[in-house]
Amino acid sequence: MTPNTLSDRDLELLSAYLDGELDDRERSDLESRLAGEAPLREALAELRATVELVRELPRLRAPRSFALDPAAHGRRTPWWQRVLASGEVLQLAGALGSAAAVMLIVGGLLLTSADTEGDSAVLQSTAAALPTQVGFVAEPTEEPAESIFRFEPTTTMPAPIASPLAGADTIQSEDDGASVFEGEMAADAASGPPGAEMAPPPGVVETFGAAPAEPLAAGQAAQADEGAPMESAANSAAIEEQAPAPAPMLQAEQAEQPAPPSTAVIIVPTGTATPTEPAPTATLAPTAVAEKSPLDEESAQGAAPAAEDRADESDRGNTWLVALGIILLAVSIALFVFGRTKARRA
Amino acid sequence: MDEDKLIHAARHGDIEAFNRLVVTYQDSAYTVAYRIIGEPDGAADATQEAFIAAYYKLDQFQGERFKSWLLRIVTNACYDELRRRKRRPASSLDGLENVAPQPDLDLNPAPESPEQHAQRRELYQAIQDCLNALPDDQRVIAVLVDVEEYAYQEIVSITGLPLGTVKSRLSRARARLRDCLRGVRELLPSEYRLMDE
Repeated sequence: MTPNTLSDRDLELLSAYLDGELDDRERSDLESRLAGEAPLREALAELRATVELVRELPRLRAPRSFALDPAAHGRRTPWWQRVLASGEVLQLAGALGSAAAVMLIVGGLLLTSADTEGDSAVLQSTAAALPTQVGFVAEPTEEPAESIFRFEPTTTMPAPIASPLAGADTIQSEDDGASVFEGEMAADAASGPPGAEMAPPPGVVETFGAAPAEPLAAGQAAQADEGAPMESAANSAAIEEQAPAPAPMLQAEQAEQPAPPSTAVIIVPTGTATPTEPAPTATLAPTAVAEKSPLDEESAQGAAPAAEDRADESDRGNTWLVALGIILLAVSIALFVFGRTKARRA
Repeated sequence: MDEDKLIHAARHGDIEAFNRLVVTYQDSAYTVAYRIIGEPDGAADATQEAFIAAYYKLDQFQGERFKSWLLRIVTNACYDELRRRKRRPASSLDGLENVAPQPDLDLNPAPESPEQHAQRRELYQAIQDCLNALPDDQRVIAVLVDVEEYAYQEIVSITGLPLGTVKSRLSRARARLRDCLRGVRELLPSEYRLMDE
């Protein structure tokens, strides 16, 4: 073995031995080997000569002063100022801010749409408490129904039949999950001029028999209040037999067919088209309503405004969220552009 | 003012205090840079960059030995300079025209003849050439240990390398230096010429 054929491990041991970097056990092991292996001793001598030669190299004198120019460097700036002065950091902040802004905007929009659906459900359930109110206040109104269904205002439609049907159909449609527009249309009807209630021609009332319709109306109102829409539909069919007029035919068809929510919207104005309701029926219907009015007042006047308030508050919150996101997006984009410009200049 | 107070003042923006530290360590920093880069202008650039970086990184100084912390920055600046030179090989030709820097005359008080002086300069240049022939990672370790005479743990602190890596790189660097110096045997002093006989 020659000094040139030493293993890397032996060279490493010799190098560390020269620098006094071996622990006691390694040093004693190596020293025992050095005593018996001449090539190892030669290698150690060569390494020592090499190290001493390199250590002969002088310490150099700096060719000039490396002191910093106070005018160029001045006082050290705080770390946050250095961060702000870095174009890359500003770009990163702008990108992150933009991402957060997009998330805010999308989140706000999603929450808004979710709230709208939730509000529909709330108002829908609230409207379920309004059947008698609908039946009661719907009577004065006639024009909307006419405009929608092209009813003739002066039709001989039997008012006593139409009125209970309206109440039954309204309840049925609400049980089916009718649209919130029922409540709105009922409110419209309530705000309508009371004078719109048209006095029915006496002959018409006599022709179609107002008297049988009165107990039917009262019974249907009670059934409807108990939540029996199917019976209401059956009653509608019975009424249809008694009054084969065009308008009741339409109502009966609507009652027999499982109406989609949009159908319910149609039916409610039909109930409001009771211009020819005779005086006896008019006295009965409010009576039936009056028995249920306390509960209806609670639900109609308490739940609906509260739901609307909640919806309004939620909408306002979501709007603020979206607005905040838009502002953040604008600021982030400006930050990104500023940082990019700064980085390019640098 | 002692070193700790200068560092404290420099941390609070006193650039004059920092410049006193620069004056204290600039020869060591430049020496290391020159031994690693092997060319005066590049060494000066790296040294200047290192002091600027050190000034702006004083917040990161953790109270260790300031010279070790500074030489770590110098070493990194040298790596940057070497990478820059590899990307622009033409600039390395400038080094051929540069004159080797003057040694610190205080360390060579013995009077010598012009011939002796020339021989010594030639020897130094031969050793530097052997250092320059080393791979960068081995040269950095060899300079820090054999020129600056740092302990292994300090090398670990400066370079961030594991102790085993430092040991292996150093032994390989020394083996290469040994082989290289055999080639310039006629320049070596008589006591060193014996090592290959």
